[in-house]
Amino acid sequence: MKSIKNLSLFQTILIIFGGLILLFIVAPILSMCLSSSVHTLVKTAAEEQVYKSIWLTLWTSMAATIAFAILAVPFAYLLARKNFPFKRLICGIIDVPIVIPHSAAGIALLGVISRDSIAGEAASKIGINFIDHPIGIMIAMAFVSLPFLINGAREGFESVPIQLEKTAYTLGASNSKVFFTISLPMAWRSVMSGFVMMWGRGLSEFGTIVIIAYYPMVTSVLIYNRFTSYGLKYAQPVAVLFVVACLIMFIFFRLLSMEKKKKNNLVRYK
Amino acid sequence: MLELKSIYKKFPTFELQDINLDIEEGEYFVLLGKSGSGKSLILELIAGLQTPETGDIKIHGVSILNRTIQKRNIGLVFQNHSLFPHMTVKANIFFALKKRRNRDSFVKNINSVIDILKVSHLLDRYPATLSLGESQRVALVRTLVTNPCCLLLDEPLSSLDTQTKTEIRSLLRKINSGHIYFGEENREKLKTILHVTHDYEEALALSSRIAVIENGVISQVGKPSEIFRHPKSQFIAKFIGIKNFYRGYVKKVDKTTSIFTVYKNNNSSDGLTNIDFNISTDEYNGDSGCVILRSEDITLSNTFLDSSARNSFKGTVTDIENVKTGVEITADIGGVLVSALITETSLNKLEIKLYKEIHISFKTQATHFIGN
Repeated sequence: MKSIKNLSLFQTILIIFGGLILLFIVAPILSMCLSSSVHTLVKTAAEEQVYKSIWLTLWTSMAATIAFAILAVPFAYLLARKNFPFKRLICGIIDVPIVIPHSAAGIALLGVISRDSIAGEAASKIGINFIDHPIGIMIAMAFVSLPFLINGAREGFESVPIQLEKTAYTLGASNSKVFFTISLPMAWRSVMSGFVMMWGRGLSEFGTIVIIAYYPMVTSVLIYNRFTSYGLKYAQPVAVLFVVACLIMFIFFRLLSMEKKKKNNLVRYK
Repeated sequence: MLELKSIYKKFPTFELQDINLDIEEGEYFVLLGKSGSGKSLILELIAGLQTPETGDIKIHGVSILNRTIQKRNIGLVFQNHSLFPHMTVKANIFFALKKRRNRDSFVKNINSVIDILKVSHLLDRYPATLSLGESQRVALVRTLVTNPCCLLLDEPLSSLDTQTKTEIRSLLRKINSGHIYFGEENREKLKTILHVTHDYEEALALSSRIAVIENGVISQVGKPSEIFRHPKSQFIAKFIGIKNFYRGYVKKVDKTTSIFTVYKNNNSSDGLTNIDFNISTDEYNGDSGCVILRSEDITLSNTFLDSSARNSFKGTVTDIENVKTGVEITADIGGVLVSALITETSLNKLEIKLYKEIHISFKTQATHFIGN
């Protein structure tokens, strides 16, 4: 590592740019965190509406990610390994939820799951109503965040050398055994990374959820609700608490994956 | 026991055309060809990782084309060994182990192969930490424990250093002869091996028969000695390192003699040189063809040698090169280069130097004519 003294002009400029970008990200968050007193934060955290909302956001996004992962990860494997007609088109379609305006996504989903639609009617017969219900929230979250998991997992599977799978076949392993013992373990980091991205994206969703399920309020909706009803000061503490909760979760996941990486490195280069 | 009949397969940059192979039980069969000649693809076709467009593959007379990869019972070891990097050596070796009734005896057999191939001290290691020789041995063990009906090896020796090459060569011979085996019932049972390589010496050392493949086509099949002494094509001659080959025009002079005139630049459109070889051939007259000469069969002398050799030329030394088996002297005899292989002692005794005059001679019988 070069010491500060030996930096070229180019590297110095890069560092300045980096600093500006970091400032751009950190400054608003930091100033918001400092805007509320500790006392306010504690009081807000104790409010039932607030902690229930944070909990709702966390568990619906996690549940949505897990549920769709079961379908999406094998699909990503298929995309990575097989060529079929219109494959490029399908990959393009998978990316659509990222670019579509979130309110438009909400309207689109509403058309499919509201009580007037086929799916909505069938579901209401067995007592499930998507609108204004956690399941609706989960559907909205999954819709906008699936591409992250699919693409992450697909890239992970693509990076597994196909010759390893070929070798496994010649050793008598079935397609499913190869998937579970070779492809998935080797792609695990990318799959996990895609998983966390999907979860995070779902956590932060607002526009789609607002249309399908304003109530029960996930935290992004709660913050908006408080802001429009009572103003900035009333919304800030909730935002701070949520940011802190998310940070804790993400740092926790990072540590987990670093631990595994460290362990692997130790074992590999013994 | 392994037959390929009229296999044809088109790849993006390449075509395998009319591949026919008939490998007998217990043979050590080598598929010899340049890199990119399609030899590895043939192995993949046999293993089922690719399907041919036309043709058939049979084992013991039964077509296996419709069998899945898993059911073909063929062992394939790739050039880079393809050990699973996220699993220990032990897990790699036991990968093929399935639930079976006689699991204990199976495990005992695996352990004995592990001991014989000397990988027992590696069991807890990960593949990334192994040397190439160790990795090769683990790959062999992993495949042997599936007790395949034949073993397909893709360039098993190519990335190894000389000493490791010798070790692994010896291992491969023992596997073929049944001295390394899986399970007591396979003791001394010959194991069919199909070994793919670009190295002629490897082929010579190990094989009972060789098939030479060139640009997706099998150009010659036979025992190593046949291929060496009577290469059927210019490509094979060049490939096995024969330096003296000449294109030219042959004309029969009398019952026993034919004269072969070398083309300029070995190219028929450039016309004839005035270099004539006395060659032995009965079948050709007034034809174009190619003559090859083994470097060992050329005699060098400082003055004209009056001997039984019908071919005698004066030339100038253009190159002196140390090779594994001696010294290779290249001489220009008038627009045509001839390479001779001599010992270092002879080099010194004759005081051969660059650009010095030299006489070369060789017998009619030393020439080998290949017709077009």
